[in-house]
Amino acid sequence: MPIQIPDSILLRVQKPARYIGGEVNAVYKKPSEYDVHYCFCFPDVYDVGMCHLGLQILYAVMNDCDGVYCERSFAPWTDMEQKMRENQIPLYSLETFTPLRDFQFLGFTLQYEMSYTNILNMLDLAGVPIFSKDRTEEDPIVMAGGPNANNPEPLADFIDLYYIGEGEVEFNELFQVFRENRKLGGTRHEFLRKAAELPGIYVPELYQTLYEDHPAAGCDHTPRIASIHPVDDSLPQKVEKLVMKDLDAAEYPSRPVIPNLQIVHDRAAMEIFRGCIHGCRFCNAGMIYRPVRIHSPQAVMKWVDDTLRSTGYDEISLTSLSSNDYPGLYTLIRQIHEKYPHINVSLPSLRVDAFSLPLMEQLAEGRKSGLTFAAEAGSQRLRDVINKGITEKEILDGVSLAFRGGWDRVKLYFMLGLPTETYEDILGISELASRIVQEWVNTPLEKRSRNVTVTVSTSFFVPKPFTPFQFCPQDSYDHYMQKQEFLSSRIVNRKVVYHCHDAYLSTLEGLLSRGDRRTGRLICSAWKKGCKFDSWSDLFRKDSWEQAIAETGTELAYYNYREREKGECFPWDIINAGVTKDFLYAEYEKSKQGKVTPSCADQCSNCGMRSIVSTGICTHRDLLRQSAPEEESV
Amino acid sequence: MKKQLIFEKYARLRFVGHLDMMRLLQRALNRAGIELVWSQGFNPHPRMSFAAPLALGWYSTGEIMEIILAENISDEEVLSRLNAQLPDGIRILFCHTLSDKEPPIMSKVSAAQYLLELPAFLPEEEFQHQWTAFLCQETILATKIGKVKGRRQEKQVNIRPGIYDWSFCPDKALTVRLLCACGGELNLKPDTLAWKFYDFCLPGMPQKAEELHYREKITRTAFYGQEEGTWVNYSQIPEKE
Repeated sequence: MPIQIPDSILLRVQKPARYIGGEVNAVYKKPSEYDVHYCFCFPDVYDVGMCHLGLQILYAVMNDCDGVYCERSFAPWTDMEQKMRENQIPLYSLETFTPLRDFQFLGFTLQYEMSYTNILNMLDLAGVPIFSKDRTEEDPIVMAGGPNANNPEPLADFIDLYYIGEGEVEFNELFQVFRENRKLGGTRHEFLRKAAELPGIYVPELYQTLYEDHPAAGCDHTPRIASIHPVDDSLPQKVEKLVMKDLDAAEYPSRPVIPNLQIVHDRAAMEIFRGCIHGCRFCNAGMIYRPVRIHSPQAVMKWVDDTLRSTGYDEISLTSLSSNDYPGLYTLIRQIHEKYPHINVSLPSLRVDAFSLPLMEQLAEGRKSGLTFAAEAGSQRLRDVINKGITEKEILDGVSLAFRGGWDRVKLYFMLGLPTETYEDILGISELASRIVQEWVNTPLEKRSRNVTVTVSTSFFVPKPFTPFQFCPQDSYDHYMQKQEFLSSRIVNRKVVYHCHDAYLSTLEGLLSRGDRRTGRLICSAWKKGCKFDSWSDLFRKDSWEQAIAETGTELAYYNYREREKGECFPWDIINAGVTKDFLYAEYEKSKQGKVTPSCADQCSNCGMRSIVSTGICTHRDLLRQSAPEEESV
Repeated sequence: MKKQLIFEKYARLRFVGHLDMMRLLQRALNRAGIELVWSQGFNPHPRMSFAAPLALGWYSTGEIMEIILAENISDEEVLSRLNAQLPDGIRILFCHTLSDKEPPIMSKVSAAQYLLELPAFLPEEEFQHQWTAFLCQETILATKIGKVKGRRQEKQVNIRPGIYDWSFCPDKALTVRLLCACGGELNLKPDTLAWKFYDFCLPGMPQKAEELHYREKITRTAFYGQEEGTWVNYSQIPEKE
């Protein structure tokens, strides 16, 4: 029976359009005609979840699978949650208003650590047992995937089955195993056992963690992990992530669901290439999405045609981890503008060292508002440590060009708490900002705008699994805040505006991101104390998290503050993400010496990716160099 | 080329607000390949305007939208091409061409007709009695939240003068047809009136009255304006001259 939401509830909550579905391009089918009923669950509010490109891709891919109906569900905002609980309305899907507990699969996407409590809350609202071990034959299989699934252990108690790697690859096979098991009358455990033999599938209940018999050095009571191993030998020792071999071979979804209310990024988005050549040592995405694979300009152009026709959007976004690296980017954007003069094209992740005035002019179409550059660190030494291959000269040349072009606002992003950071490096942030203001002063009066604002934003560095910095200690909350206050006191230039925020969220993010099976208790305890929507500052409950940490005996000294040895068994060692621990450790060592590593386009650094796939830049070093630079800077 | 479109709004799309509705219509026009004239200036936008926004949750059978087309397309074609692109919950009823000199509909509208269906909290006979007594009052004070010099302020206003005409609906229980002020100068929302009516019927029982809030069904059926001393219905198909 579809769930009915009375008007009197919808009219008492903010933005009721979040809860009604009915969007253009949403897929409507008769659930009874499909034998696999899957609900894609986004553990954040609709307006955030609908911006997620992966949702649109998987929604299209799954609804193309034979016999599969994929619907969507999001975390209701707190006002709606209260109404639902008061009126005993279980969490439902937006297409057919089916209660989530009636689905065969619930698939959560793990985009960031601070959405973990929302997953528990959504399961609870759906009436599905929180713990995997408590679920029965009547309950759906609870799956998870996405970038954070690369460390599946913190949620291992709650998730039945993980899908590791890129979503376009193996779902059909998984559903086939499900159907066969059902035909034979098999139980959910039998299904999970069979699924665990498929590539890319990790079933936590079939893997066991053993701990050392003494606390780790410098810790009070938390021992290190001795080993993680499958419960029987026929299961893989390591789960190899799934990688798309040819991006252009898969039909790219060109009928995205159009939200009925304005969302954060209200536009159609297409990935122009996956992966990144630069290998910044703090960047998780740069490591786990290797190797670089591109969508050809022809494929992008076809997508633009199809998508504009199917959506009527007036803005499109061409996404990647580093837009400038795309071969023929300028030509592509010019072609789009010529064909569709009213369409805005936006590009995220522009690198300052590749700032090109004609490109920016094309994108801005006369509106020269702000430019954003990620400098990440304030000194050359520290930028070398993190392998952010840009020099101060490149930054200053880039902004100088922008000022001559009439831009008057520059935003700069930095991280505080990077490994080896000193107060001199932090001072460098302020100095760099001042030098940028000086560039504006030096710009001829007739060329520059009347005033300038340089905005400096800092966030805190959090070490992530599968990065060279997975070994390094994370700054404590107090250290973070001291550094932030220091920087704040040193920014004296009146044209520089400084934005910063509290560090506690970064402490928690670090704790969860390098957490293990024991971290599940903490997440559950925090959720029971009412924590949800933790990344929303107005709903964040610092006290509850602190209490939960104290009550569960979670040691920050263990998870955050200590340096990890190369030989230590990490919770995420169960996953083979392509990049090897040897490579990551070598990079960590190089970072301490301030040595930079060339990009994949310049030289292969043998990260290990080639051992699991040979595609993209691993096989074609010149993949990103299809057009000569002259052609680009018309 | 100026076109006027009359449309209805129903089902769950009623919970899509006015600004989102404009975006939805713009995208539907784009998909239908109906190109609009764009405004000039720093933030160019397609030329599109409405008689008045429809509040969240209300039904309508007579919304009015005006658009300026960049090319010559027949009324029938605009109607069929646009309807083919609209999701369930919004449907164009008819489309006609206006002279470019015609003033915008927004400036002509001064009233709207509504069907107000109240939840069954009174027997019909008592309801009719109470409603008549309610509207016999010369003053019905309602709290209005407005801004005075940028500051949020609550003030009491008499909403009674905003009701121009009313009648009971013979075929529907607890239902009244209302002609209310609609527009910039004077505006009366029928839900405000309904809420005041609950208070009137349930004196001293604010909690019971509050429970009835949002249980009324409101349908806007037409927009009206005064022309030469008589009310003109703008949501009707204009008679061919």
